[in-house]
Amino acid sequence: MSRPSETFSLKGVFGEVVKNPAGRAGVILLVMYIVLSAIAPIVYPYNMVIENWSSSTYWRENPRLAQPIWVKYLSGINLPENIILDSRDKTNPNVLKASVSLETVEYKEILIKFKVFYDYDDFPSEIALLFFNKFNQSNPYIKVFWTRPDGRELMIYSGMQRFRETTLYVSIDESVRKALTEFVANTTQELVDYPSPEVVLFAKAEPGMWNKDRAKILKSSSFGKPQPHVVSVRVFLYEGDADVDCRLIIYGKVYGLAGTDNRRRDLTMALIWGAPIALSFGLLSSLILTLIQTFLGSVSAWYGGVIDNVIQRITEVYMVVPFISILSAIAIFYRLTIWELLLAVVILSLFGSGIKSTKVLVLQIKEEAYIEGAISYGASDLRILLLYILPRILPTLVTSIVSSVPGFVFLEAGLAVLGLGDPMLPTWGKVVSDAYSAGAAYKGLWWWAILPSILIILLSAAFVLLGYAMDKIVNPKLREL
Amino acid sequence: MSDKNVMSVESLILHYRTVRGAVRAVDGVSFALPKGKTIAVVGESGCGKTSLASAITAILPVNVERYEGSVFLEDGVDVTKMSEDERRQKIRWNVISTVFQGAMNALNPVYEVGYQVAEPLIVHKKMKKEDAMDEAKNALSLVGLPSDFLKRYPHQLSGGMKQRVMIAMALVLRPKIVILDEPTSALDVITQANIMNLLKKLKWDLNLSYIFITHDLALASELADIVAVMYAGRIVERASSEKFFTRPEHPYSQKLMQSVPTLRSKKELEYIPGAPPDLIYPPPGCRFHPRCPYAMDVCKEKVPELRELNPDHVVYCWLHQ
Amino acid sequence: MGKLRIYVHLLKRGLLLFITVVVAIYATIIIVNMGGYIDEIIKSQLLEDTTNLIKRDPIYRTLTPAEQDKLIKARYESELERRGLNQPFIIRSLIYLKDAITLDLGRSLYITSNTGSRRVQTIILELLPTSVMLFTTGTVLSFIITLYLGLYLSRHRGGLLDKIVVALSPSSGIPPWLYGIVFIIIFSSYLHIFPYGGLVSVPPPNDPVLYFLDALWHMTLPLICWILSGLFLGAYGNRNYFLLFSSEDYVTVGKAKGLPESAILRRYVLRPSSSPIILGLALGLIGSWQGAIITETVFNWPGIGLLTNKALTAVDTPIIIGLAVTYGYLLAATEFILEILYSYLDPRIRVLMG
Repeated sequence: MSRPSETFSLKGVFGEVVKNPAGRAGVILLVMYIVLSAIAPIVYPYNMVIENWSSSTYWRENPRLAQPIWVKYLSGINLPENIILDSRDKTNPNVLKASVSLETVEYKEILIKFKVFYDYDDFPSEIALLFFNKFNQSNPYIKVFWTRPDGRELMIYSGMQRFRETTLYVSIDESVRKALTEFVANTTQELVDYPSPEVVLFAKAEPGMWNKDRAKILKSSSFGKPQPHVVSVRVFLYEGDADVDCRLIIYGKVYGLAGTDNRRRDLTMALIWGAPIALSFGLLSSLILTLIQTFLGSVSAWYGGVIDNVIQRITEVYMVVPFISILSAIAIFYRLTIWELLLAVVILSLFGSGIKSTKVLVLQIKEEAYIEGAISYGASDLRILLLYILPRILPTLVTSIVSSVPGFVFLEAGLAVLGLGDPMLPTWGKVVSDAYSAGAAYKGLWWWAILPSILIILLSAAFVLLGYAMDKIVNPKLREL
Repeated sequence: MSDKNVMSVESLILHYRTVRGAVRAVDGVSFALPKGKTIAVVGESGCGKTSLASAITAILPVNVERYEGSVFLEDGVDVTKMSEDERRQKIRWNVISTVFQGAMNALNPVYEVGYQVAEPLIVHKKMKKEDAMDEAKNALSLVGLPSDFLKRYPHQLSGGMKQRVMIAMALVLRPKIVILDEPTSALDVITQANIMNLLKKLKWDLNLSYIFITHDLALASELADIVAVMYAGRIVERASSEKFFTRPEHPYSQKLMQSVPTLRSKKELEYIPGAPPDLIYPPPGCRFHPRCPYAMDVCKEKVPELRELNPDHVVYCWLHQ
Repeated sequence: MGKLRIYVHLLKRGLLLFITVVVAIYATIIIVNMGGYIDEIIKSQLLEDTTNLIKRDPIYRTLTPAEQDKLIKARYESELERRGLNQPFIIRSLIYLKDAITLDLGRSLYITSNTGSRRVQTIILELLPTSVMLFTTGTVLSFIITLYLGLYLSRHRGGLLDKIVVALSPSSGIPPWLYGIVFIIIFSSYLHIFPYGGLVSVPPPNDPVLYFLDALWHMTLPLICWILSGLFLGAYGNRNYFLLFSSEDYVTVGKAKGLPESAILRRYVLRPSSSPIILGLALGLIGSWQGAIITETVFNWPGIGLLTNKALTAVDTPIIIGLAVTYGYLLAATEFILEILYSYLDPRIRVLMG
């Protein structure tokens, strides 16, 4: 329908694109993503990502399912952030570690005290105490006491340390809960079976202090002079060179720019890294496929006859093949990495509709007089293809490439949601998929699903806007519309 | 309007809005068409001739900026002032029909040619399809096409055949006036001659009045009773063909004549220097002055008024004031 | 004469489509079998059947277990031979192919239908209607809306609605399932307007009318996502098509002929532009079958898309192949209908295609 009657220079097209408001928006967005992609390996080195994204220990100290930090400012509620105190930290005034009895060869007592000033509006999500024990044969014995700002004190735990590193999950530990059941009973005369330590320890001593919906926070600042929580760990050592260090982690409910997922992973890493992955996957697939299809279409149009017939038949076969079924089958049975996935996608889409549209375009150009002229002066087929035809289809080609990128980005995301993506890489699709399988939609874990979705959408929007602007320029009839 | 005129156009104006500005395609055109005669509107490409066809039938584009003037018909009605419905039902194709340029994609590609010829009958005369197709068959034979063309599709026809179909289509309601917009542009010389002969014959047989729009002076001379020369949206000279072809008065008309080869006399072929004027920002005063060998100061400032040299010869040029 | 040519052409296309389906299914079989699963399945199914047959039959009860086992083994092996399962892979794959094409789809590994049957055909047929209900409705609605919206926009170029649609067009291309996830969070989790998913509430209402309404309510959000996904880009594309086609010369001629607006619209704009639009519809339908998999998963909609996901996760190969067959035939049927429509609507295509 439209005759490609003008040749464009790529620079000229670019200039026009920027003039168009849609094109400008697209370019700005794209630049943002490119910047993001460039930042990614700097902020989170590639090796570190690969190693740690799937690990469970690396993220131990992040809160689970934490919302992004900026939610605090938006909602006005002062949501708690992580508070970490380490007895090995000699400079923190809130940390005290001292020996409190005579050091003999056989017996030593160490006291570790953590002072926590807590003024947040919400309870912590979890509490944990990590112990780093140095001993030869005799196990250290510890007792943990918790003194609240209102002066109430209880012993929450006592026990032997058997390993180099032990963790006391205060929130879940049986003995802690028992201690707290008693505490609640003594304080408010309520009998509760399994009170949540992170609630009870931080709640005002009133009826309902065990219930996170009814309990009120006991703030350190609510007293004349701010009163901290004091966590005291008394360590009893039976060897001269034995030592115990302790790390208190009071898990908050917000973390980082993008929050965390159910494996405590910092989503910012996934979100930033998703950019280069999505960009390269989208651009590469689009580039390779468009180039191949344009080539095949041109060949089909130029040589006609048997070659054309064969290519057209194969194209028709391809169009009916259930792409996703076969792709899924491949992905399931062969456990693909993302680059192998790309290859599979390319092979399965090789003879796509781009061939037919290129063929129509080239056929029109072929009819033009100057091609006839070139043939008559003896130009070789290759020369004609490269020198005359290629420049004419180049703008349409580039527009095609740009416009097809979003499709591939979504394809990768979609496959990830189906569980067919690269299991190791933190792509946006994978994050959405994880969120979805963990029921994020139903549990109100909005940031986990929505933030990556927004990034995917904006990336696709960038390319759609660019493609739209380019289309307007390249397709002369559309310019007037 | 006098009795013998079947159409009288007065100060017709049609401007379009484009990105660059308003295109003043038809900028004050006036002429009268006597019954049974042909007026040839001659001009270069880009002078607004085709817009004139649209302006007369009031088929306005989406981006119309200004549409004024009058197109009076025999019974005194003014086409420009009618409602669109009235125009559609009473005037278009019934009274005035158009034969479009052959180079245009004027036939609907998805319908058979016979149906397209019969369509006006079905729509305007409420004929039944079979009757209309019979009439269409007659129309096609009028232009020398056999009846099996009824079932053909436009892409199966040659340029000459398509042109004949369009002529048949234009005549099917027996209109009074036919606007012929470059009816032979894309055709080879032989087909051209055939079509011109056909047009002559039809005019005689069916008592038609033609408005013949063309860039080809030689072609115009075959059919025209009156010649109107159009330049930059305006008529610059209007004369009976006798007077015009013997002695054109406007410098532009003279230049046009000089650039047409004649069979019998030896003459130096000349061309007209300069480029056709910009219809968005036309030259002030007389629009031809940048290319006119006789341009005077007054030509650059004031628009030339009508000067009647003879009852049937008027010219718009300061040389004759 | 013309009619005959058309029929021949359609026949050729039909044949070609059939071959395509065959190729596609064969490809799936090869891929799936490279994991080595199919044979194992069929063999173990066979063994199970033979064992059951022998053990349950009263005639053989008098035999000792050892004799029973021998009998089972003999029967099993003869059955293997009868079925050609002791043959090289190529031949076997062709047998599977023949079974698949004739829709002899066997039994599943794990998944069962609502009635407890493990016949793949039953399972698929049970769920096919719900998919059709949702996606055909969605595609048809989407098509109609984008068609009329595009038509409206082309006649009111530059108006407010036009600007809005153009501004929002980047939002298209977002697949329905992504809309789904976001909308579920907003409308189901946060606002509680729509249900989370599934066909009907749990427990479903008894009254048929209420049941129908309940299903309709559940269908609303997926439908909205489906339609939104293609809306703005589709309407914008249609608008451009119509604008392009309205600027064709023959439309001017139609106006000059004094034809009424409706006739011009119908005969001079819609009809000539129908081929790319129908093509768009067909591609949309075809795409819908595939895209539906994720959408159904997100909305927990009990159709063949969800089945595909479950079958893939559970690696229930007979169902995977059965689904590939189903999709293949669906696609071919859609394409074939498209061919028929094309040949009716646009005579130019009859000449150009093929």
